[in-house]
Amino acid sequence: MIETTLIPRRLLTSALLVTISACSFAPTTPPLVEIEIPSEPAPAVSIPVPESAVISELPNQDAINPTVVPVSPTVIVNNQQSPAVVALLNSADAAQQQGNFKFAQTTLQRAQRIAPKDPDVYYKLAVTHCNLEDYRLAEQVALKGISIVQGQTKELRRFWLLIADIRMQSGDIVAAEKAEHMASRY
Amino acid sequence: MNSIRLRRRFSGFATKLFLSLLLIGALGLLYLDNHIREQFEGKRWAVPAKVYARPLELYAGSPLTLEELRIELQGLGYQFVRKVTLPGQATFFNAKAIIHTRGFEFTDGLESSQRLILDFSNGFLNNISSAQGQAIPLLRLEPVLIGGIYPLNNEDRDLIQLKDAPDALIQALIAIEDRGFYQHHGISLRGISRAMVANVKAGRFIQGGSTLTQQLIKNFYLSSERTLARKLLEIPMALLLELHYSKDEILEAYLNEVYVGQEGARAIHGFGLAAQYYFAQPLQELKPDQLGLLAGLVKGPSYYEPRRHPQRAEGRRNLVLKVMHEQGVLEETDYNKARTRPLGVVKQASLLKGAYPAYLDLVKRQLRQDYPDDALSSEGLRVFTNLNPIAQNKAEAALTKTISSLEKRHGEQLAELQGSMVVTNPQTGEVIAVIGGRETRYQGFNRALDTLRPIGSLIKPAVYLTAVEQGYHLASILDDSPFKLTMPNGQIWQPENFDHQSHEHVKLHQAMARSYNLSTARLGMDLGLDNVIDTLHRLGVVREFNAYPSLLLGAQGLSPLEVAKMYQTMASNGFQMPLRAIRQVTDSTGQELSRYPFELEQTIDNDSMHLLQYMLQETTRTGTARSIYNHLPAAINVAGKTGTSDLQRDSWFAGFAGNRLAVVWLGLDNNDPVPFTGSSGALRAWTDYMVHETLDPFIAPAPEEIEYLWIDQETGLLADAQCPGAQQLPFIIGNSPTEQANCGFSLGNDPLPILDNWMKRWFQ
Repeated sequence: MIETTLIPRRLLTSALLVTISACSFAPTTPPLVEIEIPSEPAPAVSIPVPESAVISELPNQDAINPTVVPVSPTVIVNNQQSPAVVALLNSADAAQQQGNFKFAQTTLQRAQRIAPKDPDVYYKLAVTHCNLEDYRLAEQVALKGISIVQGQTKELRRFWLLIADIRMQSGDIVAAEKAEHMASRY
Repeated sequence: MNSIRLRRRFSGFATKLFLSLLLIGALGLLYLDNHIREQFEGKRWAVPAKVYARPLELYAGSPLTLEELRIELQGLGYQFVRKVTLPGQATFFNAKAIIHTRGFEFTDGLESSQRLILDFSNGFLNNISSAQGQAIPLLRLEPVLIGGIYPLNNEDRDLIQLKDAPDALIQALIAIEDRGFYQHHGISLRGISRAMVANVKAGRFIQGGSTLTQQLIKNFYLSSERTLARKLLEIPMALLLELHYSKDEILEAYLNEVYVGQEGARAIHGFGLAAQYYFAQPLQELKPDQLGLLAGLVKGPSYYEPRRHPQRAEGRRNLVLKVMHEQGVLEETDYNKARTRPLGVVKQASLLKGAYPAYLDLVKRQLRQDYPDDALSSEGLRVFTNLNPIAQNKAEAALTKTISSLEKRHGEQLAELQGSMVVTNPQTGEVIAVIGGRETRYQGFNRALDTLRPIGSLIKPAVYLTAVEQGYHLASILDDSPFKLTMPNGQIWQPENFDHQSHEHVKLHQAMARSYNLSTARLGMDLGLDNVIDTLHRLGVVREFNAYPSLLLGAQGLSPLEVAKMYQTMASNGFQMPLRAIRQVTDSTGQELSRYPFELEQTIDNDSMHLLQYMLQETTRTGTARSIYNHLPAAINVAGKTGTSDLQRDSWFAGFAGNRLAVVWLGLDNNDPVPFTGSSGALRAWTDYMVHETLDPFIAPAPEEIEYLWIDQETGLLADAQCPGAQQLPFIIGNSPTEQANCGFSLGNDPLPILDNWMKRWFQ
């Protein structure tokens, strides 16, 4: 059932859920470039821009300077995958399709070291663990992916659908439906 | 009659004796034969596990400077030459490097040996192309060998095959040690008589006359004692060995067995390891003069030790080269070139094997959970670790520099100042550097793993995390007034702030960033010690804690490694990760035995962790660790916490950027107080390390359930963005102040500057 694609997909019925026998894997997952950058970006504690705290004219009473407290600028989404990461992801894809999941795992971890904030890396790694039938770890890796794509609705949907898939594989249909519901919010 | 009977009886006895002796002799020979074959054919050597650093990934856009590449290549023993023609050579010019990699067979694929052109600019590797001009997306250098796990006899060796041994080495050995090697049957009468003549001529013992086969027997089967019995056994054993095995088999065994040096307790055996030990290069890359030196060492590894006795060694080398020339092995021009070359032995300190005892210690402990000791020291396993020699190098420099500058400043009382450090990749949980003490190469007490020292305020994140989990928000007002607590045993606990002042009512986030003790202790008592302990466990600390109030101010001890694990969970948005030193273990042929993949488990929810991460950043921006930004650029967002234990016995800092997490401890082994705090001690080493790394900023995207609101600094109430003194703080939606502040007018002791400011804007 490798051809089962994740996107687009509606809420699956429980009956359908049980019939799927392998972890869904979409070799043609949308490249990061297409990821929507929300028009109203989620705030993040990130590179503080001292000027934006504005009150720089306030006299400095003591060493604690209120003007440089971190603020919440926009999420900076780096939508460029380096050729190195592309090469590794492709090679992981090929290994997945041949059922060589351990190789895929090794390769994706190389990619993770190079691009630890690339959602594709976590998505594919979660799929790999799912295929290795380590559903707990698969879900955790997917959750880690979610923690780095906050504010990116398309990505959030993709990851929640993946979690639904993983839970379904592990036989927890109720939890899978919860994840489906989460996905449907985006 | 009697005499005849006697004679008969005697001859009968003699025959019996003779037969018995023959039988014993034959049995002995059989036993010897069996012994020889068993050992020669079975597992011949206990081969220590080889431990490798992580391979350096080279790809366009990787954060790597020429200088960092140089550190890596030096660790790999590359020769810096003018023109790169052979594997293991490199040349640097302007912002380019040309290197000829050696290649390495990883379990997941072969990295072939190739010549590459690398372009650098602004701290990054911009482009990699092959000698033919083709762009290469990525490749791995061969990994640096950082250590071995030795058997009890401390024998270390790198096995080689005969086909990998340079011809010149074999010819040199045969020329100098055993010219008749290919002709004799184990012993050489000609050799012995020639040696005797030479000895008589010289008037002293200068030649042994042992064949290579005899030398192998000596090294291989017999003890090192010089006894007659041993000498007598050597000859039949040499003959038997030759009877069973070919010259090539014997030669290969010899090349791997021979003893060629000593480093402390570690005995250097075989030419494969000798090449690394003396020249930091693979055997195949050595030149005739280097091979001549190695062949010459066999006669007396300690007498000719080239690091201690360079003149003797050079004399010996030149003698070997001369014999090689005489025997026609070395041509005139090569001979003249070789004998005028310097010895070229690398400094022991530049060898990376054995340079990281604290890291290796961690590797061994993690390995022992899965492998028995004898498998580690004898099966030739290959252990691939996460050690990053470049990061380790920088961490060592930062720590030792800080220690010596603190000593200089504070004089005598700090003569024994110690420190340790753990560096990880916060995204993956991989341990990339470990320092166990100020003498980084000293294989002794490993403070990074084994010192349990009170962590002081490093514990506070656990208290504040418990608070936000229980419904406090960042603008909640805390009581920072003094208090006494009478313990069940009658003792009185009376914490104090570092400045011995009370700050009355403080906002929760400020109490954390400024590390106030009174408000933290009050808060922690209110939350419940058991709940704080539960949070510590969910942050990844496995140790049991005593539920004493002093725990809230970090009176109980943790090792730097445990602290790293705790802060790792904070850096990775609430996901606990095992700290991994090992990536993979393979057998000697490269077959994978076990792997240690990326593992994680979310134990703290994203929202609460986001609030804590904010406070940890406030600590580095405006709190007790703000001195960081005297050195780091403002764009590099980092988060962390200072720690100073009771009576200032320990100075700690734990913190992280996007791609590096480091924990530093400084203190004295005898537990005396030190004249500096976490901020003025450990933080300096931390900052110095981070400044030298190429950092990614720490970025935590806000979860959906988090909103940022403008808060009045004085009152902790909602404010407008335009209000002077207003600060944006994160809140979990539905749990934030609801009352609006009067924009700073109503409060504050000195409203004038604020008014002034406010009016200025108004009229602009």
